[in-house]
Formats: sequence, C-alpha cells, structure tokens
Amino acid sequence: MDSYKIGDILYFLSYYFTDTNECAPHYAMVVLPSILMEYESQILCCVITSNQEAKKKKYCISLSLDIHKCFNRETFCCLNRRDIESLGDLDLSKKLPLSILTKDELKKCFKLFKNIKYSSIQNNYFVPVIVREWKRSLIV
Amino acid sequence: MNLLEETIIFILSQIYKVKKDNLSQIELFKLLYLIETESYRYTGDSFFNEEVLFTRDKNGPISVDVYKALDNLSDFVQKKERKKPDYPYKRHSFYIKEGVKYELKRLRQDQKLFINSVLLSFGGLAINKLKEKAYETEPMLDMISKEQKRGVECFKGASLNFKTVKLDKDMKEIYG
Repeated sequence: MDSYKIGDILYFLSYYFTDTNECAPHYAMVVLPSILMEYESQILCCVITSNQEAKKKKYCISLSLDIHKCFNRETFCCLNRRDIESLGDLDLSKKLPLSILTKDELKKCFKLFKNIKYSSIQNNYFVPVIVREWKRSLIV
Repeated sequence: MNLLEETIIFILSQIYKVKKDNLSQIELFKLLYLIETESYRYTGDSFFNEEVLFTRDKNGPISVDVYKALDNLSDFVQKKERKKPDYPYKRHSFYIKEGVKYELKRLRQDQKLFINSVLLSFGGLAINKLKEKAYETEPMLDMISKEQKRGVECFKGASLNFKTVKLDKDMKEIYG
C-alpha cells in the first residue's frame, strides 16, 4: 500500500486529464490519499504545470523552485484541475514523492481552494471530503 | 439494497483500513450516526436523505432502521458473537460473508470518499472512545441538556435533532 500524502508531488508516466480527455506524462500533487478511495490503487491529484498561462489563472499557485528542486522553471499547482489517477501509472523509476508542499504552501492552496466556485452543496461530497481531510492534515 | 444497506456493506468492506475485520453493533450504530452528523457539518444536509431515524438510548444514539437494514442484509452480512479487548462481555459482531458478491448501485464515488473520511477519523477508536465522540456531537448535547432541564436520566427513544449541527466554517465560506 502506498503512503503518499496530501501535498506530495508525484510524476505519472500516464496522467489522464478529465477536463481535456487527454493523457500524457505529467507532474501532479496529491489532493486526497489513496486510503480514502474505494480502491487503494487510485489517488486524487491536481495538475502541476510549467505552462506560463497558469500564472494568470486564479486557482493556480506558484511553487518555489528553491524548495522544490525537482523543477527547473516556474511551476504552478492548478487546484481547479483535479483527476482520479491510477497508482499503476506512476513513474517508479523516480524516488517518489519528488517533493512535498510546505505547510505555508498548503495553507495558500487551501485558501485558494475555498475560493473556487462550486456548483451546489447538494449531493456532492467531493468538496466536503477535501475540506475535511485538508483541515485534518493542516492541524496535525 | 437501499442507501443505508449499501452504506453498511461499504463500511464493512473498508474497515480493514482501520485495522479491524468486524464491527460490533454499537460500533456500527455510532459510525453511521457520525456519518450523518458529519454530513450535516460539511454539507448542511442528511447523508441518508433523512430516511434513517436516530434515537436516544442509554448508550447513545441507536436506530431501528439499522436493525432492519441488518436483517435485510442477512445474505451478505454474517453476525458472530465475539469478545473484544476493550469490552468485558461478548458482543454481536458483523462481517461481510466470505466469497459473497454484491453490487453497490446507489452509493456514488463521492459518498464513498466521505464514508472513508469519517471511517478513518473514528473507525479505529475503541468502543468507549467512539461512544465519547458520539456524545460530543450537537444532537446528543442538545438531548442531554433537555434531559438535565427535565431532571430525566435518559429520554429513551426520543429523536435526535441533526438541525443542531453547525455547518463547518470553511464550508460556510465556500458556499456562502
């Protein structure tokens, strides 16, 4: 069983983007650990990109290059682009996690996450679970 | 299977995550009650669409609907008498029958995540600690306050009021 935690930076050989329906090798950050999923082979992540367009996006946070040595150019974590991925698609030739978001970065992410406009509180537990687990993780 | 029955099956299928292989009746009652309480806390709404009634009993919240659901699940769930280290007497414990196949058609993926989130918070606790957690919730505190005002030891059978649960402040921020 893996032990990747909220804020871990992973690298997938095949990352499936729900919003574009595409698949590519990609960096991602753990939003919910796999123990929470019905099948522990899955994990909820959000996209990490070096696409400079992300700089202008409201729900992206810039990651410090000084802290996250795995990146060599300005990189962003996109909190509004979340996908359920398979742990089988991780690049295990790399030592994972590649890096971990600091408590301050996680706090910034949480603040930003709360500002995302969500459709309805009814019948959707994704947002409540993320809030519940992130609060637990930030408190601990 | 209805939503409550599927939730029970799902909980029993996931309890290995808190290093247990069965749940006693009291643990099951308390976990289902905490799922409902946490649902009100994080969504402002009932997890079970208000179809499960939780009432006051001398050991905290119970539900007749859970008894009924367990009876209906006899093809999938096995009841055994077991002694647990944190309680002096044998209790009825529930397991998923070995080799049995089931399909959960009502529970959505997001609901499963929520159940697991609650399960990981409370499922690993010993029975007494789990009971304490249930007693710390607003519906139980509200009930105890009413009992104290009336000088009654226990309003056995009285419905617990989930509307007393306060919405989480961050969720309030998100949904205004």
